Amino acid sequence: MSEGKHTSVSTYVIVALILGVITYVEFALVEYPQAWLGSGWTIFLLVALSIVKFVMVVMFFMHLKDDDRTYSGFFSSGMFIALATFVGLTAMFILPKAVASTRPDNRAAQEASHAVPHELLDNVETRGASRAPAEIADTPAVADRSVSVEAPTAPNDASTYSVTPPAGATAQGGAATAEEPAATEAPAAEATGAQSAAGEAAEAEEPAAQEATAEEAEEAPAQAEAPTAEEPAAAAVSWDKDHGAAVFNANCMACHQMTGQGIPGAFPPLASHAVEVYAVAGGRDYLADAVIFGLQGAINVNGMTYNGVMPAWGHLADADLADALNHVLTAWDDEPAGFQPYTAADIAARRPDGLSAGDVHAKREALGLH
Amino acid sequence: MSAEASSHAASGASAHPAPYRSSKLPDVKLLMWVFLASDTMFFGSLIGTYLAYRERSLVGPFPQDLFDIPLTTVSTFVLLMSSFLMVLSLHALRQNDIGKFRLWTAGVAFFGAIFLGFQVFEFTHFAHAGLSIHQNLFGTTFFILTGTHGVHVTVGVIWLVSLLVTSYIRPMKAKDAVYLEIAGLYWHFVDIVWIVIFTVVYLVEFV
Amino acid sequence: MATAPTVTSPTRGKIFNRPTWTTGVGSWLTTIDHKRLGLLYICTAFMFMIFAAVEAGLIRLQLLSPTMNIVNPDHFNQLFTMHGVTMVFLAIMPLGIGLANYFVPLQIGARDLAFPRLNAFGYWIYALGGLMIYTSWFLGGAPDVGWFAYAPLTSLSHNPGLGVDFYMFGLFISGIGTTGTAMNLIVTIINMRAPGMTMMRVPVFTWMILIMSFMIIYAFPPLTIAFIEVILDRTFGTLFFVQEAGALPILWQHLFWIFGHPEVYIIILPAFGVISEIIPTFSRKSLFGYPVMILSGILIGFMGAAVWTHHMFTTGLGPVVNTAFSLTSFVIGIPTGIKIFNWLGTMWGGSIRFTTPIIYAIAFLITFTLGGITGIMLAMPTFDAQVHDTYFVVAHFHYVMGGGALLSYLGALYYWFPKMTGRMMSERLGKIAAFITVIGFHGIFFPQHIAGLLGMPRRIQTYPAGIGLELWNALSTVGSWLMGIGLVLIAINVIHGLTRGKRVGDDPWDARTLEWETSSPPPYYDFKVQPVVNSLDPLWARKHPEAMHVTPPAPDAGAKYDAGGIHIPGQSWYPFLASAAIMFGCYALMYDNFILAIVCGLFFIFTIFGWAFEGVGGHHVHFDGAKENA
Repeated sequence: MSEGKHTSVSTYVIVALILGVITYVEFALVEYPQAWLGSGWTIFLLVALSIVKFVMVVMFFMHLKDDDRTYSGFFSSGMFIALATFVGLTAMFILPKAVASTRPDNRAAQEASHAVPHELLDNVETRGASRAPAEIADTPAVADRSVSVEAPTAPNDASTYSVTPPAGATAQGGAATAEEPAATEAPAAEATGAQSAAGEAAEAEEPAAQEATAEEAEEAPAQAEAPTAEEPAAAAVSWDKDHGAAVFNANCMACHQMTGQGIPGAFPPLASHAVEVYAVAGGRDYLADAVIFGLQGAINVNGMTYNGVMPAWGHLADADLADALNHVLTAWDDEPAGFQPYTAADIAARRPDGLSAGDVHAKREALGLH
Repeated sequence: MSAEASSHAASGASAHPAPYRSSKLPDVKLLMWVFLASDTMFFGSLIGTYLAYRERSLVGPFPQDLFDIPLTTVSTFVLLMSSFLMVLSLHALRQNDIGKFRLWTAGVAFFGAIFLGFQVFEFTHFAHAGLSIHQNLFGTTFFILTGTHGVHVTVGVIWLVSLLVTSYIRPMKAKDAVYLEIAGLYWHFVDIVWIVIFTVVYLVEFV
Repeated sequence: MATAPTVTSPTRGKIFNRPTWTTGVGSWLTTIDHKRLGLLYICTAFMFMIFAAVEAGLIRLQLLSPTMNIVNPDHFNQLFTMHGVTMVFLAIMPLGIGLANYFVPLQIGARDLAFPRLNAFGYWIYALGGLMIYTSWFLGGAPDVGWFAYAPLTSLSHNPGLGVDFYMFGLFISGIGTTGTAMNLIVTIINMRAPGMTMMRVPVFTWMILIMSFMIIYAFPPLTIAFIEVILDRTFGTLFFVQEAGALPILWQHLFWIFGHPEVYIIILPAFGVISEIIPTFSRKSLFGYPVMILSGILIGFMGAAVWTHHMFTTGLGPVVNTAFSLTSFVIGIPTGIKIFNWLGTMWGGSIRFTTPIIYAIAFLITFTLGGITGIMLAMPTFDAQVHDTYFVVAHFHYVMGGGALLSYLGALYYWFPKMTGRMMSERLGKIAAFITVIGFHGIFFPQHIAGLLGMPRRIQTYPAGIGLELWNALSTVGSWLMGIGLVLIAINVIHGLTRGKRVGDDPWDARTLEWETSSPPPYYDFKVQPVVNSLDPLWARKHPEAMHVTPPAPDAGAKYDAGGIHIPGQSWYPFLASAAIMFGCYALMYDNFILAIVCGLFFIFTIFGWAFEGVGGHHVHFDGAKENA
């Protein structure tokens, strides 16, 4: 026990005063923002001040300053592990998002995919003003777990796709919908473009793609504001074969195997089957739904029944899913007739449907597939 | 937990010397510190969840629509001052000043109750503005994080009131201070968790 | 016993009279004796282990040959889930905690844990939580989501049945008990060591339990939070893992593995401790490199918290994260390797007696090293991506958990059986059973490496003929029969030992640590005279002072510490009632009966107050005839 080394009352009073003052300073920093202090420094100051408060309470009020070292050892080892673990964890969630949102094109794609009008993500003022409380008040009941996603609803009409003209005809919209590779590898756009658009439209597409890449910073927000209008026309012909294969190998290969043959009885084959599905009217949307929302229920492929669960992959970026789908459709089979590579915008447009894995299964049945 | 060892100590005072211990640290206080070390991971997980889901809500209301910094600053201040009263209470008990001990302990419990009142007010206000645990990720993570903290505060208030009532039933002396001390450690811990929440959840939102 | 102890026990009129039974069901429900609770832990854990073994046997039977349908896919999912959950949470880990309960106080010369009633609470909430999960077989189906229950498989829309609720609630409450017991063990080991037993004279088993307890208190809260989040999702409609609301199911994986990897070490550290007791005893040699052994244990404890995402290499966390956690995963192999070499160093030059326990210890060394090597392979993200979710991983973690923890606990069973019962198990039958068990174990899991490398995925109910998996699966199933025979022989040996085993003295193995100094089985007050220690391996020092270079303290040197009598805490109903209240509250929540849940909650609060105001109570034991009241 720390008998005999008690902190005096005057020390407690001083500590309490300092704590009060720090709390007021924190309040003032936020309530009266200082222009000369950028937001980065403000956050740094806030964190620093709260650490000071934290340490003062622990040292003086909890008496760790004078108490037995064992207590400090136990508590600080816990704090150390907790801090390291959860700073690491939080960084894993926040950093990829922060990096992604600094890429202008990606930001557009991301916002479209989350179907939140992009100005909401931009700044505080608009966000506050854009929501009247009454508008928000319709809370879904407990029983209804579905979340209302307010968003521009994407065209859900399968025929839009099945009659889409061959790739290349709508080249200018394509690059503006901005797949990730185009952004990250802007300097190498020429090489990538030439390699990836190896199909018949390559020559026609390439200059347009480059041009759009250069301009995407300005174009992207405009795209996101009205994604619906652009989408049907926005058929990007260029997609990154390597990226598609990489996404597939990282996420899908474990079950469907590198050869797309699956595991008989456990995981259905994709080779030769995916293109069949694609050829059915509405199959293009269905394939996108299956990767975004997953699939659950008995299906029959080549005479074999599979009754498992395909997990939803909606947490992957739109561009990743699009390229993975393109990879699945082109890696092991001839391109299906009228093949139109998926774009990030295609995927984004499917997201608002918010299907369950069972819904996707129902959709599959509705297409006449079993 | 507190009274468990108190009868123990009472028996130690008579013909029975306290059992041998290989360290100078009272069992209950060591247990409390070990518990607090574990609780850092508990709140770490909740705060981690909140941060992982920060700005991922698809629909409103969003934090900036709702948070009222002046109000939360006041409630933060109240909780900090309750910690201050807590050390005064412990100090008084160690000086065998039972009157002041009762006064300050009642003060801590009262301030804790005020803090809870602020929280109830805040929750009701948010609920009227359309935020619920079903509304969006912000609602889910915010209510569960601050709600869990609120439950901790409630447990603390009940604990302190129990100690206060006990002091009228059986006399509390300076040697029983360790039972107040562990309640205090718990209380201060709840306070420092709020210091983190105040910064990470509330203030950062407006920078 | 020379003098019969005089016992004084005051009765205090409270809501429940302080129970004082010494026999019968009531005495077991209200016991706070660490030895009785240890036995309860060990027996309950072995009971769950039998359940899990039956489940494993069914799984292997189903996979005996291609396209069999002995167990339908739904039941197959439930079987492998329950097998994993039972082995990890209800069998192996509680076995370590049970052994700790029994032997930590004996090894450090204490009379009980620091908080006996908290200890009882820990046991009851674990046992009731485990039973609660098992009732799911009769109440609409067991959980079928795998032992790590990845979101969003656990969401209400994907899994409307009650199975997942049983998993979440049952493990949630048994986790509370585990955490409480771990805190209790920490305080006990810090505060209740015998006079003279500095931290560097604490037996290695107790040291490993201390490190394990720290890992438990840091690892279980994230899991508890993860359980609470799913429970809230399923019961109250929050959105923690609802993808449609933008939630990220991968968060579950993070929270789960932040717990899950330390859990691996929580399971294996007591096993390391057991091996560190067995090998010196039967090599008749001090443990080689005692301080390094402790230090490497602490290092494992810290590193164990920093490797969790190596379970998530294939979730697309990116090269930076994968590289970082791959490196930490390699690094954690170093302290483990140090331990292996220290055990080898202990045996080197020792005069080894090949008794059953050391046969298990040697089998452990070989098996665990093999599991460690495949672990290093899996720490490479590139390799992991290839074999992720295949039988290679299954083989790896069974080599570590089964071959590591289970084999060493079987060794511990043989080693400590005479201490717990006063009788010896048959050595001949023991050795036969040990060989059959170990060969059976390798028969099951070695072929699975190859099946995994050939691409056989985990958790499939069957597989087609003609893709090269028949032989390996058939071998594996035959191995499971062999191991089953071995386990039955062990069970026969236990029953034989309990009924007809040769009675033995206090120290049948010529062992080294304090638990062998008291009688077998130990009396309820553990030690008649408080032991005093002035070296490592105090019993060995007493028997061979010249070997330890110390003069052992006089046998009655500790008498002065018992001047006031030996305090035996009173039995109590509250731990059991509090656990029961929590369990019934969970049932109520599961069936959306909120009124009953609130009633259970209020009753729980009542038990906590009763617990607090009842006090430690109990009585003092005196050997000099003087009477004192508590």
